[in-house]
Amino acid sequence: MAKADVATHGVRSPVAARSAAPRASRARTARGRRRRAEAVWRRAALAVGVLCVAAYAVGAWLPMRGLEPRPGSHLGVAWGIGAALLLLTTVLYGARRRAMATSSKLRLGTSRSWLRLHLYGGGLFLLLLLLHSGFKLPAGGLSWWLWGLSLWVVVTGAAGLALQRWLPRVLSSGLAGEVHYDRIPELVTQLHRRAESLAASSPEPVRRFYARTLSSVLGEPRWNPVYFLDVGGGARRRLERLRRLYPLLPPAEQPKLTELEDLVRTKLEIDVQYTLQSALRGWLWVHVPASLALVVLVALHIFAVIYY
Amino acid sequence: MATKPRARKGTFGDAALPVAGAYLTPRRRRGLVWLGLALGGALLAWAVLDFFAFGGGFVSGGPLSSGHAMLQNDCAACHSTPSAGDLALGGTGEVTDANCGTCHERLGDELGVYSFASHYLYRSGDFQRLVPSEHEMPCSACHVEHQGRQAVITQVADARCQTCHTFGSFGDGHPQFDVLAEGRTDRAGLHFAHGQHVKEVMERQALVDLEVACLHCHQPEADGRQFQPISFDRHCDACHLTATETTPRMPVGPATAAEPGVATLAQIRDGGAPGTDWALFANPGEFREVGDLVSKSPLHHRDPWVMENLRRLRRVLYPNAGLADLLDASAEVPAEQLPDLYREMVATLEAYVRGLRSDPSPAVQDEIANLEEILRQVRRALDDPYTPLDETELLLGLERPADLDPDQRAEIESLVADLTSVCATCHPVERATFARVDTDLRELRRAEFDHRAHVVQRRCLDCHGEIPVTAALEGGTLTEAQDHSGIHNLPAIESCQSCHAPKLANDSCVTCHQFHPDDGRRSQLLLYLDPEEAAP
Repeated sequence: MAKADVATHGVRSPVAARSAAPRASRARTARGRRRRAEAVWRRAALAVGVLCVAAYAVGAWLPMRGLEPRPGSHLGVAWGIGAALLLLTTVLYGARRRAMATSSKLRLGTSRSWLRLHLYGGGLFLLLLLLHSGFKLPAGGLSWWLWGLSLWVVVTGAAGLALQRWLPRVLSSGLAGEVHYDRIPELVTQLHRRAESLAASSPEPVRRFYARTLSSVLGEPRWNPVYFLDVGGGARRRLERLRRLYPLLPPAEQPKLTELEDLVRTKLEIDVQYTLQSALRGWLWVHVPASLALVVLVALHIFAVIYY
Repeated sequence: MATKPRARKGTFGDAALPVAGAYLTPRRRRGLVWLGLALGGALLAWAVLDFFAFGGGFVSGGPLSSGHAMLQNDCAACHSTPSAGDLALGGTGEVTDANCGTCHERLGDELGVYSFASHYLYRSGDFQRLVPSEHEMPCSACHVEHQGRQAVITQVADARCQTCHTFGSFGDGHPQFDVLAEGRTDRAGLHFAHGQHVKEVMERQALVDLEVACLHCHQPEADGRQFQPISFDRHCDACHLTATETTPRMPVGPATAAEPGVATLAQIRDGGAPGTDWALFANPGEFREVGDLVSKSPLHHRDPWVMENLRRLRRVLYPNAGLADLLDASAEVPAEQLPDLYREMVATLEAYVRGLRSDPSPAVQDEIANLEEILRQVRRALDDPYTPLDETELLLGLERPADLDPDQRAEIESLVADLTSVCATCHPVERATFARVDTDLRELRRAEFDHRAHVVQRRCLDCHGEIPVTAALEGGTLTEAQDHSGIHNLPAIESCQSCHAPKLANDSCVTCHQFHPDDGRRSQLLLYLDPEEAAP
């Protein structure tokens, strides 16, 4: 149990064996509740989506005024209003994250509920956008920007969701522990300092190898895309080269090399953390600004529609 | 890297680095928000700049169609500009009909070319159709703009028509043609047998192809869409009303109930009645007077002597005929032909005016002045196809016969029969009036049928097979029921639908119908200009 806990939560302390059973039971209950809630949200979103598509199909099939599949018909305007409201709601998710205390005080729902609203609302937003435009490519500068940004925001959101689902699993299952992203520079500095000190007191072959190969590796966090494919990222090969120094050292000096090996291994793990967590945080830069720009353009679009 | 447990709290990796050496304040991510607002702000700024400097093309829904391309950067040309108050009350800068009308026709013209009212009339001339529908919509609802420069905004989707009309496209529930669904007879106004005439034409012209014989009389118009009206002079004169045709001998006398008779040429000349100028140029040799009897030979089509005497006799039978007396033939015509009736009456009155102009008496001259004023007003009204015309008075006139002794009535009617005996071979005569011949031949008036587009793939008789002409040529005898002028000889709609159906030839509404059918009026848009604007 303790092993599993450590594997899952990294540096968090192991769970006391005496409370393990009731806690596991509570966790199972909570997981079941979350799954049920997830299913409810999924079904609700699916039902809304199906209803919207059915209404669209009826409008396209029946020759009734106001139901035509075009942006200006009554139904088309309804799709547009729905999409705008969904966009606003999904954007409010970000605001809510920045005002947790207020949100909690006002009982505006749990973070998980808001996240689900954000995810399913975003999907429905794209659907309503397509219904609003009648599944036609837009024409006109503003329309193209609206259409392109909407698509971009939803696609980057989906990509972010995929990263959020995939990378934490990799980080927690493929590595020894986890570290706060903002602390990485501090850890690397500590590690580098210790390695410098250790290398200085080591025999000549180790000092040379350190200066030639390891110093630059340990000096700063390194971003390497290969970690997305393999969290091992060639660490074994690098450490193998370090191990070749053992026969060259007297037995009394070998513990220093072992310590240096630990430092290098730790640095490589930090690089993996740095690379993967960069992706987890960096995707927001392609998602959030575009979302905010989209809100501004939707406001302009609504004004233009009302004005004209 | 292998997963391995770690027992030390607060350390990281094999190096056991302390992960919480100091309190860490999470970094704020305001950059995300600022970048987003900067991007949105830049686009907003561009939109504002574009609106004021370049006409607002950025917020436009897309390029306008070619015909409106010059208005691409002039939103206000089509879109109304609502005031702030209007916006607050929910008003919008919609594309109003009035804005379209700025160019397409002047305002205030309710029955304008592009209006719904014009569509209701749709060549029918039937003003009872002018009942506004709750589904009436603005021009922009059908003619959707901002669909690109190559878009054809006159290609209106069937769905737009279906907001009022309950059926789908031509191949989807279109009702049977009215004339066939209602079993209406052809108002040809003529005794005519196709079988006999086709046989005669083929023999005389030595034709082999039956359909060439059709084209002997049914001659296409220049554009090949429809056929020219049948004309006596071009199509009938070669065989009918030859020099040997003569009327029976009829008694000469004043056209009165007590002493019914016909007027001789000399009497008509001496009478000098309005509209009898023709008598001055008529050939006296065509008349044979024996005692108190007179006959005429040869007879001409629309023979003025016959028409004049028929008019005199009709006045005895129907002294209250009124306006109908100004017509040469019956006033029973479809609504769309009413203007023709009025034009005929105007022509008759103009002839009367010409005949009276030489009379110097002040009373006559005053009457001429009154008549000319009336004619001016009528002509002006006839220039506007949307002026309601009423045939009631024309028809009611012959519904009010004179109170005559039956013997006298029979004697006059017998005289009418003698006078029109030659004409009646082809022209039915009722109430001392010839039936009006419908020379137009068009029945599906509200559809834009194009014969030229169809003759490539179909022969005449493939569609017009109601009268079995082929059987007549093969020696058969057509009965009156099979071959008379009251047969439309039109195919049922199913014949057309065998080609015009979904996934076959086009079956959309606008293939055959126009919402704004009156092409001719479109070239007269300048009529709507204000005089000040029209002045150079």
